Amino acid sequence: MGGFQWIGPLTETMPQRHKHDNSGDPPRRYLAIVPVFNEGASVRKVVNRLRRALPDFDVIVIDDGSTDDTVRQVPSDVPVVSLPFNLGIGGAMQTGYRYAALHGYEIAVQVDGDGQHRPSEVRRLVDHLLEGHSDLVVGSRFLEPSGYRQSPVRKLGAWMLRALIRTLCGLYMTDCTSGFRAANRRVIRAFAHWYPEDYPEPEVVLLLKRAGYQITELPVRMRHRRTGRSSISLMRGVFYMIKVGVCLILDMVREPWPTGKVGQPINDEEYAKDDYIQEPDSGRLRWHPPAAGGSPPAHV
Amino acid sequence: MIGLPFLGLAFWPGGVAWMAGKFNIYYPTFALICVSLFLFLLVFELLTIVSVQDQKITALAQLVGILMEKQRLAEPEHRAAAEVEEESVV
Repeated sequence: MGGFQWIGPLTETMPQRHKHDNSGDPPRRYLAIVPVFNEGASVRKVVNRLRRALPDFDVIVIDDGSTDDTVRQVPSDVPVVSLPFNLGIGGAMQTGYRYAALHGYEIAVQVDGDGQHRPSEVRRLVDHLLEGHSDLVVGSRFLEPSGYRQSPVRKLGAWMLRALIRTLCGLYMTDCTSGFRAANRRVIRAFAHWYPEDYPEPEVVLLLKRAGYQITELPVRMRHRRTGRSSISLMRGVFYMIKVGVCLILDMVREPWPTGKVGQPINDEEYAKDDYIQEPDSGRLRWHPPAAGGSPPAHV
Repeated sequence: MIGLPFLGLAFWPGGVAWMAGKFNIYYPTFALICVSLFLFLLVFELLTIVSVQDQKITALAQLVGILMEKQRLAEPEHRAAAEVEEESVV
C-alpha cells in the first residue's frame, strides 16, 4: 500500500461488493459484524458460511489486532477493518456498529468469529427484529433446552448476573452474556455513540432497558467452540463477575446515550445534535466530532 | 505520586504539626486529612483525563481502521483480485 491519500468522505458508498455496484442493485440493508482476535483457524469458514446462508447481508470482519494470520484467511472481497492495536471486544464491536451507522445499515448482527453462532439462526433474529416489537434481539442458549453445556462456574456467574439485572431494572434475561445479537438502526446509532469496553453484553442490556429500548430474547442453538480459546478463564471469570457487578450498579446512574430522561423512549433527532449528522437524501450518518479543545462528549 | 508526601512525612513526623500551625489548623490530624483529600481529588482528576484520552484514542483507532479498509477497497489491484475471486465463487 502506498502513501495515504484522501479518497473521499466516509459516507460514500463503499465498493465492498462489486457485483452489486455494477448491477445497480440497491445497497444492502443488513450487516453481519464478525469480530475476530486470533481466529485464523475458523474465520474463513465462518465468513463463507455467512455468505452462503445470508446472501442479502453484507459481512464485515473486525480484526482486533490479531497476531496470527487471521486477516489473510478472510476472503479478499470481504471488507476487513484491521484495528491498529487490540481494543478488546467492546472496542471491536463498536467499530462494527460505527461502520454500520456511517453506512446507513438498518440492521446489524453480531456473529462471533469462532464459529459458535450459526448463520442459519441469524435470519430468525432479523425477522423478529423486522416485526418491530423490539430494538435488540438476543439469541439465548437457555430460553429453551438446547443441549448447550456450561461449566458450573459459568453457570453460577450467569445466574448472578441474571439476578442482578433483574433486581436493578426488572428485566429477566435467560442469557445476558450472549454475544449473538441483532440490533436495529436506533440501537446501532446508540452503540456507535457509546459502547462498553470490557465484557459489554450484560451492561448493554441494562443500559438499553433503562434508556427505554425494547429488548427480547429468542431461543437459538449454538455450537461449542472448536478452535481458539475463550477470552474468559477461571481467574478472569472471577474478576469478570466483580467488575461487571460493580459496573452494573454504577450503570444505574449513567446515561451514555442521549435520552433526555432515563426511562423515556429516546428521540432519534437527539443524535443529530451530537456526534452524528444525518444526510437527508440517503439517511446515512456522517460523523461530526466535537471541535478540538471543545467540551468532551456527554457520555464522558 | 500519592506516596511521596507520605514518604516525606515518614521522615519528618513533625511536619504535620508544622503544616497545621502554618494554616492555623487546631488539630494537626485534620491537616493530614486535608492533604489526603487533596491527593484524592488530584488522582480523580488525572483518572478523568486518562479516561477521556482513552476514549479519544479508541475512536481514532476505530476510524483509522475503517479508513484504511476504505482505501484498500478503492485500490485497483484489490478490485481486480476481488472480481476474480467472485467469479470463481459464482
